[in-house]
Amino acid sequence: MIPVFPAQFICWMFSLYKGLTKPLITLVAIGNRYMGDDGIGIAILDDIKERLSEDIAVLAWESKDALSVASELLEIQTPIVIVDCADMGINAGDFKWFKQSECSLEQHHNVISTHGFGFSDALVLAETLGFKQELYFFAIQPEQIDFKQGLSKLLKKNIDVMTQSLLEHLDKLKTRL
Amino acid sequence: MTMNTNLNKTMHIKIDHVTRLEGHGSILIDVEKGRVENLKLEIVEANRFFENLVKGVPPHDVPQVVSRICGICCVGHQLAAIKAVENALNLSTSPQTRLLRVLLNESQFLQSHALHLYFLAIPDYVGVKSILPLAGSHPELIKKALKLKKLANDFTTILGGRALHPVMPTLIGWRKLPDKNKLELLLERLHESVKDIEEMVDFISQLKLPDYERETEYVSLKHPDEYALYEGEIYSSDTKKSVPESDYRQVTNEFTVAHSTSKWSRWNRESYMVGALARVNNNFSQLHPKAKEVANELDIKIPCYNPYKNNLAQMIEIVHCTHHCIEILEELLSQDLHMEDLTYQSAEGIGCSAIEVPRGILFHEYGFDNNGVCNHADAVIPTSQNINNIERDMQKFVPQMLPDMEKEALASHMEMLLRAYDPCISCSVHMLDVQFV
Repeated sequence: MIPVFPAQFICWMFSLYKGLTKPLITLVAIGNRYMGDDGIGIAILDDIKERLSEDIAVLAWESKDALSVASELLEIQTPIVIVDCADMGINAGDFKWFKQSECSLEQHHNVISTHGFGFSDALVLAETLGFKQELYFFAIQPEQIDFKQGLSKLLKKNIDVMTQSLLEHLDKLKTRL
Repeated sequence: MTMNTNLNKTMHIKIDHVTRLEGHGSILIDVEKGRVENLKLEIVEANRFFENLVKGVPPHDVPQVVSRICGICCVGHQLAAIKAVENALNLSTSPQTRLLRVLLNESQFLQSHALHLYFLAIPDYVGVKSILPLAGSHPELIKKALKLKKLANDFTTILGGRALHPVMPTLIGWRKLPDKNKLELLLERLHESVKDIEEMVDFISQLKLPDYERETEYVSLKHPDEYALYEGEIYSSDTKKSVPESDYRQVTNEFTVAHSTSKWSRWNRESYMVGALARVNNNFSQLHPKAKEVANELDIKIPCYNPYKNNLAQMIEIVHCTHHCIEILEELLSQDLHMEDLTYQSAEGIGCSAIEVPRGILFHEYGFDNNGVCNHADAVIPTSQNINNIERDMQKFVPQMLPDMEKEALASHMEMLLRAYDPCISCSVHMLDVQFV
């Protein structure tokens, strides 16, 4: 006789299994979907989160302040991949994968206002406090950052290419780990 | 005998944008032959017209819109608006809703005071330019401050649905009640935080604050039964009397000056102070006993006239709010939480409210027409009430310290003084009422 389990039980078992799986990588999307292309990280995460294997933990830091970001960085125990838009001086819609050591992030920790505290400042603060995880960036050059809901046409059009590339990079990174 | 040549000094100080505060402000000081010719705290932010944004909006949407005035005090703006709209529509609330609102408000005090005190103000008192050198020299302290801020953010999220611009509190009650299991975990974390906070107090007690005093009028809410943060009447240390919140315009008496896009306020004398120090001065006896112990440890004598000690008062309030929240959570967890009927009848009316937010008293007022649509809004923010007092503090400080301080030290003390008030300049410049012809 084949045992039959109710769907709820199977879901519960699956969530328990996912909960017990130790993540290899933490994927963090940063952005604000109400600021045009600044929401690209969150949009990519929405697009791929169901396709990720259970050994990739996922976090969305939407409109999170820098101190909370520093605090959460300190809690992460795996290599981290940040998905965010970044001004890299390349064509809008182009994207890059790079390690932290391959870039220099502008800092504003003595800024005019706390509104100017950004991810780079949070990272420096976390590092000062002992953060040592490997950090990778999947960065997308924005076309337009402004008070506006939704991505620009250009980024919207290219989102499938970006997500595919990100998935490939994540696979490669997992193999290396 | 030596002559103090500094008495004849001439200097020009212009700090274009004071760092480590919310928004943009500049300090201008001109000293000619030992005499202060000109001293201004210029507020240069553009007006934001929030009062006009809510015109035409239905009552239950008003609090959600005005929450956006500020990312730090969003809870305060939201609760002030909820209370004012309820007063306009004559709606009443249950004891359960009151308790939840008190908790939500105090979660914001913990979050905001931790941010300001440890990440913006303290670097001044240890002689460093930003949080990073402090994190390098005192990593465990800064980790504790980050932990407290995270706890406060999670606290707001559990009660309000999210840390920024909460969505659960609304007119009459809560759209979705907080999960009791999460409240129990929160209670545990608050208990655990007590030890960390004690260590933070130890550190603060060793700081050397500038020795400067200027007695002023201290204005805060006052409540007969509690340390007034959520509600109360408006109390003045000058008259030793309170007036109802509906008389707030007689208190604030807003006026404009040429060098500030923020309005100024005055009540019984040329200026007054709101915020942590005003509250501690006016309501010291109602602080939690643990907070009073900390006041002793920090050597605050009431009344305290040193504006730099506003930062110590913030530490006292962190202790007060932590213990008060523990007590309220225990009370709340001893009973069953129940969803309330949130339906209401919109009506014509006008109502105002006053609430203490981390930086001082916040006033909101809204009017609704006979279609139940908002047709009037007014908000008076703590920083706009403090700006006048800050400039007067500077006017006394500069001539007093001029003989012994060089230009750099003076400029740095002026920045520290402004920061000690924890100003939210962005918030302070949105209250211009525009009449279109």
